[in-house]
Amino acid sequence: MRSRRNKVNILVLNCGSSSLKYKIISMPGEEELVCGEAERVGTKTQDPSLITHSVLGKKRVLEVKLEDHSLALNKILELLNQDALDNPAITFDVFAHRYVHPGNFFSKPVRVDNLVLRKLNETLVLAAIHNPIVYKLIEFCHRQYQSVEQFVVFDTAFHKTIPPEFSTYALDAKISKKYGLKKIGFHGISHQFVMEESCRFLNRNPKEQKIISCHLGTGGSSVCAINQGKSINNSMGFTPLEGLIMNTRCGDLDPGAIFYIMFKESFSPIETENILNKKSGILGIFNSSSDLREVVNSVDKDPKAKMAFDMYVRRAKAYVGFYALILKKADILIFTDSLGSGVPLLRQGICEGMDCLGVSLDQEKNRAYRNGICQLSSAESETQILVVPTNEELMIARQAYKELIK
Amino acid sequence: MILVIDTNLKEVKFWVFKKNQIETPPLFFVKDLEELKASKNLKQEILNLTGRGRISAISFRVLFGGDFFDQTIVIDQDFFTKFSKLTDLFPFYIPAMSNILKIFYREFEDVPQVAFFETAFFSRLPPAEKFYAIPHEFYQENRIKKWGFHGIFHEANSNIFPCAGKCISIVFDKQTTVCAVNDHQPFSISLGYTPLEGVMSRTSCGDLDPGIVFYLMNVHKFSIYKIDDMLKNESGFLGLTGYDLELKELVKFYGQDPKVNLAFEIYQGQIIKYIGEGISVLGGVDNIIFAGSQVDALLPIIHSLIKRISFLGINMKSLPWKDKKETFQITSPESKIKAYLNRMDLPAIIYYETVKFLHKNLSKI
Amino acid sequence: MKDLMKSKAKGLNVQLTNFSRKVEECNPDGSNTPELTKLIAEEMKSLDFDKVTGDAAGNLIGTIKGYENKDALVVIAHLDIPSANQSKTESCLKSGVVKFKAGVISSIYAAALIKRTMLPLTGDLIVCCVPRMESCGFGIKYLFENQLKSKLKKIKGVVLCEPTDFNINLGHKGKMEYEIIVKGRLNRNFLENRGMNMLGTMFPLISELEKFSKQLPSDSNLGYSNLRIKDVRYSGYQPQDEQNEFRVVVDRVFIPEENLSGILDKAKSIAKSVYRGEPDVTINTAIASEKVKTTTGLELVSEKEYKPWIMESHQPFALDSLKSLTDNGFKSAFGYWKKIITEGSYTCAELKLPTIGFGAGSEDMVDSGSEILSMDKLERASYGQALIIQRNIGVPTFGWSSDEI
Repeated sequence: MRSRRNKVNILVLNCGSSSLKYKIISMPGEEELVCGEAERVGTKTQDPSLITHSVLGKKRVLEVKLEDHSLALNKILELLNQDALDNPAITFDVFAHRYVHPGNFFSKPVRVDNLVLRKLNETLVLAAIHNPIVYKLIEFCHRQYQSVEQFVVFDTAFHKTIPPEFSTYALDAKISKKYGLKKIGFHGISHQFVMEESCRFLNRNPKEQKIISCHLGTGGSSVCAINQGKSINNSMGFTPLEGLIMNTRCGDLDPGAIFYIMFKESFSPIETENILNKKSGILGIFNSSSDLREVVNSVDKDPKAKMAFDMYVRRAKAYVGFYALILKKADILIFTDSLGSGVPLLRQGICEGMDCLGVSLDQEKNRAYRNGICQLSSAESETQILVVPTNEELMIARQAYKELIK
Repeated sequence: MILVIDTNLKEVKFWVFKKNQIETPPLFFVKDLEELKASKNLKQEILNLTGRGRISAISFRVLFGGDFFDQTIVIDQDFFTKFSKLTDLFPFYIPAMSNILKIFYREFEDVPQVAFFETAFFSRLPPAEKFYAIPHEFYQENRIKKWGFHGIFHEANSNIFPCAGKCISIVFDKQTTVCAVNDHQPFSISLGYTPLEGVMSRTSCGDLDPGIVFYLMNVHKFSIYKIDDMLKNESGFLGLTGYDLELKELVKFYGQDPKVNLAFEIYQGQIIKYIGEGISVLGGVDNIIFAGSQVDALLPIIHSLIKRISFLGINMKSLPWKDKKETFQITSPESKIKAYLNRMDLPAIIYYETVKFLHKNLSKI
Repeated sequence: MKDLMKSKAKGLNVQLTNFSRKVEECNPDGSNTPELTKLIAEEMKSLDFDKVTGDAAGNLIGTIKGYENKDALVVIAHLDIPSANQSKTESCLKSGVVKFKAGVISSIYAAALIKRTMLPLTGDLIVCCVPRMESCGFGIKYLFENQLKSKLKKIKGVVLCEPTDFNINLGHKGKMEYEIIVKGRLNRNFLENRGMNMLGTMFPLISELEKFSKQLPSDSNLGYSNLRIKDVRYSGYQPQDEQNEFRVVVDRVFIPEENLSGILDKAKSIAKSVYRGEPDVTINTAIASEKVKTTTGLELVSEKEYKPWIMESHQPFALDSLKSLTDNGFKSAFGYWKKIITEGSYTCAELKLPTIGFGAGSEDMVDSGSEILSMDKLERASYGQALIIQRNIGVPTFGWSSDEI
């Protein structure tokens, strides 16, 4: 085994359905050595797949054919090997993966061994798109790099503290138990990260704070209620389909509507699930794009864009209002991820009329926001409104490191 | 006198309101649906029960009006044509209800008959609330949208305060619904396309991750019918506690039985969710009104709900809440946000609304 | 919805019992009579069927109209039990059992239940009472070639109300009767070791057929094909006579992988190989036929051939029907008839319409001629048939339970 020096380089792999983000982070200093992303992996788009690869801030873009995630990883490892020849500091000692949906099997980061692999294998059906991709990568690393330690960090682990009154669906208790149906919650890595960052920024102790965190991304979106450092509710549920309206996901929907669509159109479950996951949400309403930023650009001229924006904001407001009630007013309201930090109009819409819940946005600051962590609330606001850029890879590295030195 | 009729698929319930007897409770009787259908002389049978007096109007509670009926209307031939077009959306209700209405339309030809729709109020929901984030083709026309429910009650609740501004109206009946109203216009409603969305009931689940439906279908091979049956008939309080009891019975175990406690916690969580949604879309709240047939039975729950949100500026009077009036305040006069109980029952509301309706439309009838 | 169906079914049970009694009183021997047809037609009318018609072949058709004109469903039951095994036992109704016509009674009341609940149907529900298949396959054919011809494209499926023990049956073997006709003068040497009479000349053929019967193919669901010599006939006395003729009558049970012409060809080739040294012998094969007279007085010739049929168990019509039962407390599974022949030989094998069977009781009881059922089984069969109808052509109400309305 490799010697346990103080410094450990962790190669973080954050796998999306058609992307693979990666970083080498040197812990515990949290120094980012390499950062990159493989895009359009395994998609059949006109555009070729890309790898954007930055070493110590030096960026290059490669156009390569990437039929699946394993090939993408192979290519990335190849690039890292080359880098190591130029700069011996560019190495990694540990793999760390983000895993989306472990069901009820895991509630904290784990070191990968054969048993863990077997258990992960049983969770594949829970997120039929995400889990198998990540699982294959973990298996690949386990086989090819037997001497490198490997950790899996779960997107759901942060939410294990959601109390039963919010995690239980009002279903037959026997059925829920048999099939493990309960609110699991997602984006935990990000919610936890922005919670820690915002408290650090405000110089407050997370254990004493009531926080609403809005992770509004171009992939999925969710809102999380955090009390005393613990997640107590999340808008996503047993699957990432519940909650907010997302790019192509419908979010909350009457199950009766699902049955009606399936009956009327004679759709199979798979077809219907596909529609609600990939053709609904912003795309379903706006039609021309699934990106809220493009919706915002045409909000004044296109009624469909207006509708998409209004619906998106409305749903987000509903959850922020709900969580403000259960937290009895939040101390901090966080916006993060691409939409949360990139669309001022969205923050404005969500915060509008929320004064009675203690939320009041400074319009000027909101419009002026460019980047980094920043406070946007007005002087009289009881709730601190912050934009906090998320860094899931750093959070994964932190958790893996913590597990490593244990 | 005015006859108010509410019917389910087994029996027809009649309330007889006489003009000079407003203070006394209305005469009430029930007829079995099959008997009513088979009756050779229905009109006389009913007149025998109502006693002397001319029937000036018959009002019906109609559960569903789809896109065709966005307000209270007088039943005529055209009504039946439109109503039957809704069959597709509510198959086990529309044909049966149409059949009943036709019998009365035939038997009481000379009496104006008024239909009150539980969904009509929600035709005025803002579009962003009314529709789901699903592709266009599914929500155009008479298709998938929030129909809402308890519109008759919510509208009446909002009318109690002529210039009350922002209201949250909560109705406790077989279903529990939460509605945000501003200036008599609905802003949000918890119950969606069907009662599967919104707040749980005795046997239905309330808010649920749609992903669960797919998980059960894809992985465990459930049929949509089986899941539908499970969600509407085997979930809710029954599913959580295993006790097949009415809410008013079940609430007696609140604070004693852990399963019942959890069920009521989940129930309150769902109500709070919709109160929170209501407050945020209204941009605040001035009045919160609790109403419906179960309101008296659920006083402990209402008390607990208000307590949870009292930080907003609600000064609640302590229990027991007693008042001679049907509608009274349960917050102290200095309370920033006022809360009320509305103990009127639905037939009475329909009666008062009928009187108003006839007055307004008398010339047209 | 299920609560609604259950409560309305309960409300119909008294009428169902009364009707069962009337049916039995009307024709205690189980045969088909014009009075019976009239009685059933009247019952359909009193149960609010939208249309009731009869036809020249003795079929009786009751229709419940759909609110749309899309998928229709045909429910088939028979008017009579096999004449060969008529049950002459005394009335069993006293102890709450019904003797026969379970299919007719259950199907009519299943349709009545649908009508009573006012649950809308996407297309017509057509209940057909037909004269029994085994005595006359003509009725069902006549039905589909006339009254149902215009609706053929809309028919989503056919439900046969036959005994299946509450399972969904998906087919049975085919059955035919054919004759091998051997004609002409035989050589002396053919008879050398076989005696001198006509019977002797048949033995080699019979023994070859029996040998062949042991090599018949089988189907994993339906079981083995089967060959049985039913009869032998001959005319003339001396084998060497020009005018001689003998016939071997064969009862043949066969599976879908075999076909009619193949079976006849095989029979012919077996006979040919037996008599291959006989230049003066001609060999023919033919399907047996019989003359039939219908209750309406029609006389016709019917071939004794019923095709085998089998439905794939993953076919949506089969799957949905099964689920409609298992979702509602029936412990049903897919099954196949081993003994009886049904109208599926026509609807599924000829018309290619998705066909299933569902009913109370076991097929043994038909076979033994003692079609006796308890009343509650009959009610259950009726309820199950209504569930199948509702699932296949009903419009479901999602989300709302009837309790809430």
